[in-house]
Amino acid sequence: MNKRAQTGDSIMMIYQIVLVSFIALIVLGVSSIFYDHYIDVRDVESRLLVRQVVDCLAPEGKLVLDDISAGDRFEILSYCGIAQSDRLYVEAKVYDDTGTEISVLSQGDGGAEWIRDIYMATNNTQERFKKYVPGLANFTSDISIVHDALTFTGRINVEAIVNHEF
Amino acid sequence: MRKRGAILKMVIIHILLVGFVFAVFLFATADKINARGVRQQVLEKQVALLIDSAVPGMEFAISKVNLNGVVHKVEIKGGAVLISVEGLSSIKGYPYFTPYDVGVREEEDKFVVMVG
Repeated sequence: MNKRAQTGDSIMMIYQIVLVSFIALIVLGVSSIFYDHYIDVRDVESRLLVRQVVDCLAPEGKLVLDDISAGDRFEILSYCGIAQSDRLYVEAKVYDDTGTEISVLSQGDGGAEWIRDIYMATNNTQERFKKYVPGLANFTSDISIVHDALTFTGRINVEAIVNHEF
Repeated sequence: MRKRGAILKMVIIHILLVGFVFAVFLFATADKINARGVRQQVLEKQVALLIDSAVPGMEFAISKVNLNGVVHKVEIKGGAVLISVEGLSSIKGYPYFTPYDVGVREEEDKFVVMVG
């Protein structure tokens, strides 16, 4: 076999190896997608988060707003000792007995709210996008509120959004 | 004779290389099909949710021989639960957000997660 023919055979062999590797990679990729499974627990997480925030703000049904500084009202997760994360958003609205909003306590990425609204508006969200739909929980309860040294009955509404972890 | 030898050598190398690529592909596919990753995900999420729902003083056990496979290691690191299942190490785990301290202790046949 002359040198030219040997070089040609080597080039053909490299080409065939590359082709086999490429086909193997495609089959592997397809099987990875096919056998991959995502387990969504964000709705459960958002419910647990709401419970923890309510337990922290109003233990035994009494919310002392005077104990929460103006700065803490926008860092409510840190105030409650809950680990901060880009995934979490919590908003607690406090109303008096006439239904007037007297305080809003929150922390997290507020953008999560409009992302949630988009998903809520499109009920026919395609299956492949469902894993990006944030977990959402909402809880409302009558509570006793201490505000400006006055005690009165009111209502608290807590909403928690948990985003995907990717 | 020399020509035949060269061709045979090339064919053997070719077969070995294709066999190697095929073996790598087969192992990788088998790894995916036995779903260790999914079982790891199930365990990590279960444990993270248990931690989030626990009150101080609670403990729960994870058997080493588990329904989801043999659990080699349970770690609590950087606010996340990392569980190694069937030799598959966890890279980033699953995060929890409980305000309480969380720890793990290893016993003979189980891992005990403590919240408090």
